[in-house]
Amino acid sequence: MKTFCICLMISLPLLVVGQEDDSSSNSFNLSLASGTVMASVKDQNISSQRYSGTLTPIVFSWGHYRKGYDWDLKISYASGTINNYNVRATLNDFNMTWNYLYPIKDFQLISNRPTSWFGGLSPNLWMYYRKQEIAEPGQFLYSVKIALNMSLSTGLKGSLSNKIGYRISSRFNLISYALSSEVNEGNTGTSTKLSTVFSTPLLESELAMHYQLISWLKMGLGYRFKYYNHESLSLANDSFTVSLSATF
Amino acid sequence: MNKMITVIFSLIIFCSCSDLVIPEEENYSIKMADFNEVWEIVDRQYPFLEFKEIDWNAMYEKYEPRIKASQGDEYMNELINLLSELEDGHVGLETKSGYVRTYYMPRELKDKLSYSPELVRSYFDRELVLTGDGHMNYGTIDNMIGYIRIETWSENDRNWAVDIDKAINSLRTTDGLIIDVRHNGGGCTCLSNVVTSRFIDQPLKVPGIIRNGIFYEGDIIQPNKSAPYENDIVLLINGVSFSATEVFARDMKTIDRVTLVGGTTGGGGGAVNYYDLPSQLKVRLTFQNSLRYDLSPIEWNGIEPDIIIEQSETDIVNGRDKQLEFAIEYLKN
Repeated sequence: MKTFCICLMISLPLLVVGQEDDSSSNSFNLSLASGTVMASVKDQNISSQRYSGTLTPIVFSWGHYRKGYDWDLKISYASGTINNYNVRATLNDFNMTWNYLYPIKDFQLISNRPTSWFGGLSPNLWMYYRKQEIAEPGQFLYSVKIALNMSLSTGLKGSLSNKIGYRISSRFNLISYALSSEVNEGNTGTSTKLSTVFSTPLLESELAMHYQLISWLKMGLGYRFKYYNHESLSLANDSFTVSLSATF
Repeated sequence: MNKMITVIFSLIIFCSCSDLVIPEEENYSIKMADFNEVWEIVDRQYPFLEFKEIDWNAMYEKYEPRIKASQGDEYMNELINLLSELEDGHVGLETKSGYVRTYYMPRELKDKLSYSPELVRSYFDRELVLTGDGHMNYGTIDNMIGYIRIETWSENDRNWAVDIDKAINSLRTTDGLIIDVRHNGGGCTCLSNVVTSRFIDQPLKVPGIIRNGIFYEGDIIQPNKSAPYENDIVLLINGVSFSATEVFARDMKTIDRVTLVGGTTGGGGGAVNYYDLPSQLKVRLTFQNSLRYDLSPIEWNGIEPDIIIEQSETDIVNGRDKQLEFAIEYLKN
């Protein structure tokens, strides 16, 4: 069986941090990252059991930093095998997020002076495709979810030295309106639902550090935790990535 | 502050939160309930335990420890292994992921690649005519020999009587008729009986069935000459001809002017039912023993052809459908 889920979310963070520290008034940033994702999934449409495994991600982001605001487009794709003991499934996870971020102020924190940002509308498209290997190909199930979220986020970023910087951020939804559609052979169901963070929680937290190799090139290490829960699907990811970013 | 962030970062790198927030589900009671239910359903309903000399009590002893030792969804694999002991092509496990067939008959595996509809079409000058939803198609070879291909006996909303009458009427002037049910995996005998009725001259009392150990008399198929065809017929069968197709072959074999050509059918002789398990899985199980005219089961025995013409994947790859070629020459002569 194959499970295919598309989720579109639009977030309105009140406070979000997600951009690399760049003091240029107008610059572009191109970043490529890969690493490993440790995924845990419980999809009640397929099984009541938890499946865990590692996926290999490819993350591409393109950002434009201006004086008044920043925007970036981040696309990530991860695939791999998840297991429940000796029962396997293949998982494909696709994410596309578009952020608009507005600087607010910097502040003193112990011996550091991180800056903070306000985030605008951030559409997020998430696709989840799962093929269970316990059975022969049979029913094909896909679900389409479109959700509009009002989210609350916090974060800060700063420098540890001339060459080393850090970024910490988290985002979660407050209210979301979701359209879900599931299709298998001969059966189609569509539903809409207004839900809150308590019924459809989405939480993402990120911690990243980067090292300036040369003036326009940075290498980064990142960790991101994501948790999503909507009706029959619970999903949590730990992502560890290594990135190269070019600013020009 | 710098050191603190570095330490926090290092700690997080080596932690994994995903397994903590998605807890494992304990399923010992449900898997044992499923296992016991499967065993009891088979013990209660399956009509071939004695015929196949299966010690079902011994199977309980064999699989109970395996089910107990299994973890998570592994027990479903053990349920599949348990059901595969029945060596029945009709039996399977319906999971939330889809249906798992637990066994493939030996003749089915042997003939799996020894038939090609594309190769069959190459013997025709013109495209075959499709009826309705494509389960049946027909045409003529050398303007002399009629050909009807029936792919499946699956139930649908169409009126099969209309389809078969249309095909037969179109081929009425041919010198002989080939009915090809190779690789027809079965369906409803209610549909195969419609086709049978077009070719029998007298009412046909079919063999009975055995259900829950009780013998039930067979039905009588009445002839229906709405589309009469009086010339010789060759019925093509092979190891992938299964279930309702075997019932069809069994009944067509009683007609004098019908000759069965090809290979012995798969040997799936029974009707099936779905049974719910406590975990919402389902078992698909044969509950009825369909008999041949000698009152032996169709199960495992199959229906033998009158003329054995074996063909292999190599023949197909080399562009030869020997069974079809034999049928054509047989009817021409």
